[in-house]
Amino acid sequence: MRASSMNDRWTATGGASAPGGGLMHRLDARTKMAISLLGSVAVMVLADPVALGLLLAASLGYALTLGRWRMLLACHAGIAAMLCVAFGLMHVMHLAVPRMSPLEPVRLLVPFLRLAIMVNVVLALALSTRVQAMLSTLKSLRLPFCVYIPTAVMVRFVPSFVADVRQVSETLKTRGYRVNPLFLLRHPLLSMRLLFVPLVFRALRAADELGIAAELKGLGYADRLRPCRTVHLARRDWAAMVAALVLVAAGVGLQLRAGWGGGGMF
Amino acid sequence: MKMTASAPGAPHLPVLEVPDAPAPPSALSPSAPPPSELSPSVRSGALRRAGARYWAVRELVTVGVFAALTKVSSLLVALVGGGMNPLTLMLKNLVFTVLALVLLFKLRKPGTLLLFTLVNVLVSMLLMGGGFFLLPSMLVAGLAAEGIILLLGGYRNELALVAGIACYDILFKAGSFGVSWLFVREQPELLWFTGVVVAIGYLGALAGLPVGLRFLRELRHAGIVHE
Repeated sequence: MRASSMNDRWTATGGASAPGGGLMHRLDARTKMAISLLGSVAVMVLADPVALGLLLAASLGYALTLGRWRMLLACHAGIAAMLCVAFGLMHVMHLAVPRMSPLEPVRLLVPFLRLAIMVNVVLALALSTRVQAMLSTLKSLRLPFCVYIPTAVMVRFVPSFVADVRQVSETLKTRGYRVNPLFLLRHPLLSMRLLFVPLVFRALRAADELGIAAELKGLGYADRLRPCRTVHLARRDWAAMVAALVLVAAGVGLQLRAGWGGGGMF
Repeated sequence: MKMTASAPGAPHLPVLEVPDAPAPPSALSPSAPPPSELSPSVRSGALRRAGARYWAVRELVTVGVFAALTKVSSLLVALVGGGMNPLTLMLKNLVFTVLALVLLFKLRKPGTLLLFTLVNVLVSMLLMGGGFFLLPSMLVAGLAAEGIILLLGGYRNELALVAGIACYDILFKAGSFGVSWLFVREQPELLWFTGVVVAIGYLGALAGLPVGLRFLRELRHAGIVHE
């Protein structure tokens, strides 16, 4: 019962699912996965900053429907900090080796635009999709049995292990250890021993128990996997996918206008 | 059908959606007829399915649990130490190598590394989108590592397993470097930084081999991994 309620409440990343339902929470997991895959392909193919800027604006709007402003802000602040560090390091490299090609801030910006787009679409998927929806989606993909079982176990176990990590860190606090970046730097081996070893032991025990339980339940004797309920895509899912395709097509159009010579794939 | 398994003090075992399966012919179920009373077609079908399956369910569950543990451990190390900290990069790779080594020593079945890789890639692809371009390089690395393990004596040979993991790590890192070129191709000088990151990661993975062997010694001592 406890595990079942956890199953409903937790997202695939181990965070608590936001209550209620914005647009993002009502979209089917397959739609969000498709948008995520489309985004990953689009950012690799496109190289024009204007095209990527358009996709960034759209992906930001998509992620903002989650309502997790602080997390989005923190992620984008991190990306901006990485951009500043890269810019500083590149500047130092150009001072040290003047023969290098001149530093162009716009070209340097492009990889970080890609990163920001991917962060937006991935956060939207990971923070709004419940584990149960993810498992149903996996089942509907009709993967081979030997791939489906470990994948389903993995998706299901990530939140459980995140909860285990919390327990382990609370235990360490009780014992007087303060695990932080400084502790990790000063005592890397002890940190590994304190954090990692209990997790591995719990995982090994859980794997054995769950494996035996699965065999006793007769898992694997069915001819094929049958989803408990058939999930159909709603009109809003089709609308979201069409909107994503239109945006990527507009990005490709902008890239064509700018030409493929500026670092595009073709 | 839902399945739970829990014991006092055990980690809360989750609900796993089980395919709607007919119960296996088993003496554990009093209502089920013994295999001898089943019709020949049903009996042969069930036995054929059970016999033809290369992977036992228990092994598949172990692969899934280790794949989850790998993801969570990497996330934990990155959160505690910071993502771009060189020590964190080394530790993340060290943890991956140790876990992969423990998994191979626990299951000792050809194809384990490939399945572990496939599951990791699939989840990365579905949940993170970014794994899409890593798929070919990871699969090539997994296949090459499996080939090396078989060439060096198979899963019974400890040295073969260590060599296979080392080979997997270097091939996968080479693939990651190629993917990073796709990401930063407009400013190729950034590849120097990604190259340094990849090299530090590989050093961590190499360090993970002796650590993993030491860890395995402890697990054997505890009776968790058998000879």
